[in-house]
Amino acid sequence: MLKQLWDKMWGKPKGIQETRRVIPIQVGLDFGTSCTKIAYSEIGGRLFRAVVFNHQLPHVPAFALPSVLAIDEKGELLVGIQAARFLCQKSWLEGLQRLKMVVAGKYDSAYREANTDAVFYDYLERHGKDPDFYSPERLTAIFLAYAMRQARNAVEQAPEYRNRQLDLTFNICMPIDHLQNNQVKSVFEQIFAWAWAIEKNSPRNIETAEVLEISETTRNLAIYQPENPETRVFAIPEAVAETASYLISLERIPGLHAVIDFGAGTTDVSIFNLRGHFGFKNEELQQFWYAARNIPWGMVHIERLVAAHLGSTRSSEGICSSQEVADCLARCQNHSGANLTSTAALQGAIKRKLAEFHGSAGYRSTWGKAYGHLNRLTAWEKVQVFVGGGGAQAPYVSQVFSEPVWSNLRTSYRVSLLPEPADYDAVGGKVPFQRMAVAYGLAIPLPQIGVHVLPEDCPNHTPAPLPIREIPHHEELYDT
Amino acid sequence: MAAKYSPGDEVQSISDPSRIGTIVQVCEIHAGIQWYRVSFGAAGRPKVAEVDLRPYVRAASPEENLRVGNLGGYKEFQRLITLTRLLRHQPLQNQIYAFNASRTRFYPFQFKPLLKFLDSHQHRLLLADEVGLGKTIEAGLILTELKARQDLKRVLVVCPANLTRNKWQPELERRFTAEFSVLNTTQFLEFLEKYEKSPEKVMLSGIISLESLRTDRVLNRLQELEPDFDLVIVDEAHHLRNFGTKTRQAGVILSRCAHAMLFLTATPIHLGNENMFSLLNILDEEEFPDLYTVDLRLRHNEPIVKAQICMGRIPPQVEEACQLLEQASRSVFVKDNPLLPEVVDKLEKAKLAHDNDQQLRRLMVEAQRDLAELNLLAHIFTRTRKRDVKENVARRQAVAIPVVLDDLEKEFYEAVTDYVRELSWQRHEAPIIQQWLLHMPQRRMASCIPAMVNYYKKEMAFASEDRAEDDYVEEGQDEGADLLLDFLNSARQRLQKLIAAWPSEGPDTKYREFIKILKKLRKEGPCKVIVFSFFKDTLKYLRERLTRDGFGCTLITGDEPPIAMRTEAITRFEKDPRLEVLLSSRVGTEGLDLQFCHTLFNYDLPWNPMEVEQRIGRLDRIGQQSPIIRIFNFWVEGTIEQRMLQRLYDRIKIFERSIGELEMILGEKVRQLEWELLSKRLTPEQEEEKIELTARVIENRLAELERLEGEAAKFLGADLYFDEEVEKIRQRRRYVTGRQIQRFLEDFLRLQCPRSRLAYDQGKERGELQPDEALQAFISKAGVAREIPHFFGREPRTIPITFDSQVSFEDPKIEFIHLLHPLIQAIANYYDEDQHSRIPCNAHHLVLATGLLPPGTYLYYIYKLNVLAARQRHLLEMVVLDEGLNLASFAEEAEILLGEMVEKGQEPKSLRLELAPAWADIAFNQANTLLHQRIDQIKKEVGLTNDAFLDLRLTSIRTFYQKKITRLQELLARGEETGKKEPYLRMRRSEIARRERELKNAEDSLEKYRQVQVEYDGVAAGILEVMPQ
Repeated sequence: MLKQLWDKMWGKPKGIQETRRVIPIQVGLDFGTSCTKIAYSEIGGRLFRAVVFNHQLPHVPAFALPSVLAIDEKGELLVGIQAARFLCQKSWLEGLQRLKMVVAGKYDSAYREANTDAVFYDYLERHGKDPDFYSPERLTAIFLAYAMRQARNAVEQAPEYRNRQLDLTFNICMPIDHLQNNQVKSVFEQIFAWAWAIEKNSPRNIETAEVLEISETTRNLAIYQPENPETRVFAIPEAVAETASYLISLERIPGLHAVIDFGAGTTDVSIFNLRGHFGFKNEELQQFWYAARNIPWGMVHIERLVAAHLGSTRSSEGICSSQEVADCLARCQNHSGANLTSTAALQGAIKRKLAEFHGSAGYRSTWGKAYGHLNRLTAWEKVQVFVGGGGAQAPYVSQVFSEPVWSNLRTSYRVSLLPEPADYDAVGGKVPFQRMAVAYGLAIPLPQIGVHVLPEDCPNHTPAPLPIREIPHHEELYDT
Repeated sequence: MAAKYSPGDEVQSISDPSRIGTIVQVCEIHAGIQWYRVSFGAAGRPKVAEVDLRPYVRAASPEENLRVGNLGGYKEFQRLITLTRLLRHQPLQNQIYAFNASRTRFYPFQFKPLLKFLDSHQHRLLLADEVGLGKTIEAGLILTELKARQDLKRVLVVCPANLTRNKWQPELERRFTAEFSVLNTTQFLEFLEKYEKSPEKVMLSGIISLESLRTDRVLNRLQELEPDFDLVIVDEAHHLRNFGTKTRQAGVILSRCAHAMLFLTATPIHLGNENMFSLLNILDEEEFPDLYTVDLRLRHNEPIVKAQICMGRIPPQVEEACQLLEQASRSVFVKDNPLLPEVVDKLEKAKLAHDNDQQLRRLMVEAQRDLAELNLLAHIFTRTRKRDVKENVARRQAVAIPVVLDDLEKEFYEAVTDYVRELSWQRHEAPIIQQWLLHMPQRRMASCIPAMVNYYKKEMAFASEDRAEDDYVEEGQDEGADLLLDFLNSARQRLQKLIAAWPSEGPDTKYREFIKILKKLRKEGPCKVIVFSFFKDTLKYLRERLTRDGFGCTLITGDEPPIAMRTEAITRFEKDPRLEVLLSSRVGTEGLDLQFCHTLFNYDLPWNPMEVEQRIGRLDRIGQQSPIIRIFNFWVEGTIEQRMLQRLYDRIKIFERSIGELEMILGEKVRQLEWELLSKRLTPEQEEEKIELTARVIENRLAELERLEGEAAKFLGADLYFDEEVEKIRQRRRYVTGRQIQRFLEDFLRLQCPRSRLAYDQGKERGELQPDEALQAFISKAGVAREIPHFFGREPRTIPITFDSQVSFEDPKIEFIHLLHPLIQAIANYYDEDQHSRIPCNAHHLVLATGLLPPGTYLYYIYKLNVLAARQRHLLEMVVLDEGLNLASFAEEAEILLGEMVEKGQEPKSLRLELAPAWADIAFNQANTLLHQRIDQIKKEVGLTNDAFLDLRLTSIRTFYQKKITRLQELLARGEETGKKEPYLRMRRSEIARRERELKNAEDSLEKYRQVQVEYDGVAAGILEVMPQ
């Protein structure tokens, strides 16, 4: 009866309504050296989702956006997927790659890698482009604007947000380490602001010709102002983002931790101490970073090794495609530990290469820096190591990183993958959390990302030595 | 932009409505959003965005929460429904608590007795499954279910003495986490003493042997007190079958004392035979008063059973079933049953429903359920045979390995035989003893000659030192004796010479054959074999030789390892690929399951055929993965084993088939044959004749049993309906799954004990729990600390856990967290104490990918129904409406949907839906109208059988109490006659008065339910977004 009345008065019932006018969305943009991963969450929502791109690039996972630009035969600038598609069958060193390292290396010699710079500038030169205009900062800003647009499109096309008014905020990670006061930080913040300005001012699709123009017009307007309520782009240290999932999980334990994000071009090693008396005192666990280093060494070194191996079976080195390198690595991964003659030599070489990194000054000094905050060797007997990134599953990675850098420590660290949070939507299992851990952390709004103390401000946690009880001298006790 | 909230405001998180807190600080505006620091108590003081907050308003009912948009998500929905299912004080009828709550493998047939038990009005069951199907597990499941549904104060398990510590106690502890103590006569009498003093307070979880129970002291005391037991389980119940025995008397008394009773026996029930009547009579004297009634019932049951079979066929033979039902309706036991016209009606409808498959299927299921209820014995009797079980049953393949001793071995065999014969003659014993003295060494030699050589090496050395022969020669013996002594000495010298000259690597033909086969098996793949021997010396010798030959061994005998370590040793053997041979005596592996192995060696053969069966039975159990069990048997040529056992065992096919059902006669027959062969000096022809005769008797007996088994199926029922019912429980998830328990616990920890650590690997179904101080305090406060002491310690402890029964079955040491786990029960009770504030969210918004409904947005309303009838039950009912407020899913379909929602639901991707308040009211009214229709339907369904069931229940209760009262009156009268003191008489009178009061109360409370009533309460409501699968 009532239902009939309702029908009569309001026609077909539309009792279930959508609530908010503008939906705030937090996007996490994990700007990687070779690939960029994107995740997002609705602020006040329940799920974190990964963005999947239907690029169908054979050697790039569907959830990764190639961090690459290229110049085609006509001299046009290609960005991201188009660039990767263009470079697909070319030598794997072709294209404007590893932007993050080129920019960082420009301002901090610690990140500089002669080989990477040479490849970048050589490519521009070969294509007759002015390196001052096609600067790594500009190209990075264009790429990030492109990535932001990709994210915006993906969110807007999600069924639950279709035809809804969205307000997107971007968190982008930056390679900040325990030097902290380096110029890299402010350069990247500036690039992020520039990227946001390009994205804001670009038409629906970022066209190459236009985007160069827009980048020029917005260059001087973009200023990074995190405290401004209108700002929608924020820079977050990569190490902080990566551990976010662990810190909110029920698996966390207090103590020393090392997170090794074994990426394509760089490896982020961050060492922190989760302090607070676990379980037995009612206090918050606080994260103290002892050291965080973005070391310019990554899967690319392994890939070069593989490329050399493949090249040695042919007439000359370096002409094998990215696809072949990826396939060969997959074979090595599958046969890890098995004594297969076809891959045994390569596996041995990979292991040596990883051990080389393990013994490198960059890796060791990171641990050394961390040790400076807790100057007692026995405290370093137990460290929980998490390995993530694209190279996490490479052969021998777990084995190598389980070894402490101090040879007099006769222990083996527990190496595991980062825990997958319950609110992470893996898009039907297509996107492994291990590859999205940073993006997931970045999809948490900045105010929530947690209480942490970065290395520069981290106090010394070395416990005070036990007081030595001095026995009074005999003469002080007795009259002689 | 002004902040919407100020410090002190009470707010609720929208994304996690269980978090209710107070604003403590107005923080920054970030990216255009105002942020606040909110105190959520134990869950911390995080920063929360304004868009994720709403003012906290207490709203009591689900429909009200739905109306005002106070919606939770999938997490909250699952927690609420799981809680509703966990609450034991209102057990849900459409739920089985024993599912996934024991450390057992899941076999659907093992739940059949449980379902029957729950359905029966007098809670008595004769469980007569075939050997090896897990009767102990079935009984354990019933125990678990009862424990979940009510507080069990006193439970008694009765079994033969050899099964108390070896089977029941470890099984109940290992599989069902039930701590039972084994009671001897004195301890049981002590319990009775305590019971006499304060019957209400005394608790018992005890196991007593039949032997202890039937002692006069215990019987007299039991008869005198007749203590109440919530459950009595009698294993090997066929021991109770003989009238006039004390064992039977004990059974009868216990039946009078027990509110629920289970008889377990694998012995086939002889139809029309006294045995079946005897057991049924103990269980329910009223229903099965005499042999004639039992016979009559069985005969009248035949058409019902046949009708059940007809309905179970594909396609169902409805026409034939109708005719059989017509025949059954003439029976005095059936004609007045109110269900009869119902079934007839359903069958008539089924005849017309040929082209509508779904309707036909529903009618078939309903008709089968009704027929099962009409069955005159199904409520008290259940039997599953191996052939009825859908699981793969392994085939036994016997391989005989003939062993021909070499010359030296033969010489040794003869030397020992001569020596022992002379020795036995010296003793002047009876012929049977002399034969025994001779027989044992012969058996040992047939088992392992090198072990025997070693034995005599020690024996002879010892004897020569102590001049042992003097023991046999008494002073003043005659010359004849001297002559005998000479023979003995010469035999001894011969043996000594042979032993002295025995080469260090002496011959061992049998071992040579054995190792040859082992190496061959190893080549075939991973090798895991079990070697049984009767003699410990043989096993120890084999361990030494095999280790030398590079085979890893585990030895289990009665002596080593200790009982507590045996399971661990078996697990090590199973998991460690280096361990390939398990050497065991019968005692060693008694009660242990070795299904993971499918090759067995009988290094020697026991003379008790049941022992052979027990050896094979360790492997041939439900759960054996291999289709074939290989049994290698060694036969040493020229030995008595070969002459007698091989022929007999081959004839009765002991290695090829299970002879569990022959237990009662087989042992007796073989013992008789052994006596005949050993006590008389028979010619080989005579021996052969005797063996042939025994084999024929056993064969005839087997044939007779098979015939009876066929008959039993005809009269007792096929129980097809129950198999379907178990499947339905699984499909509809009428149980709390491991995943639900996991989320329930995680949720609680996150909110209440966030410093506890829980890491769980879904793939491996294993994890770790590190309880924090808050969790420990919670456990202590809940009063369950004594049950889980390992959750405490000065340092944080890491407890390996699983939520999966299969993993817990495989790893007995892992903490199995299931719905009856003290921690889970404590959490459920915690929420239940104050549901309104502790589970503030009873309206939800969730997403489900399913094919059960077309994609779209729906509204659902979940109610808890309390059916007040003879069989009181609680049900969860769900009404689902589509956007046009039309009925989308209801009753059984909705139950399936609810199962999917709980298990496979998802969080909404965006929190953007809410109801127009007026529309929400209309929807609620619509749902209520539909619910009332459903209630009327339930009333009608229950009403059909309510009176009949009520009368049965009343009769059962009256009989139970009347017997007790009569007995007490007798005791009182006797006390008065014998001039007992006044306090004794007073105690008896008050006891009579108490029993009468109890009976009156029970009658009154049952009579209340003559009129079926249904109460209901809203549990949850919400928005369901259905997406395509």
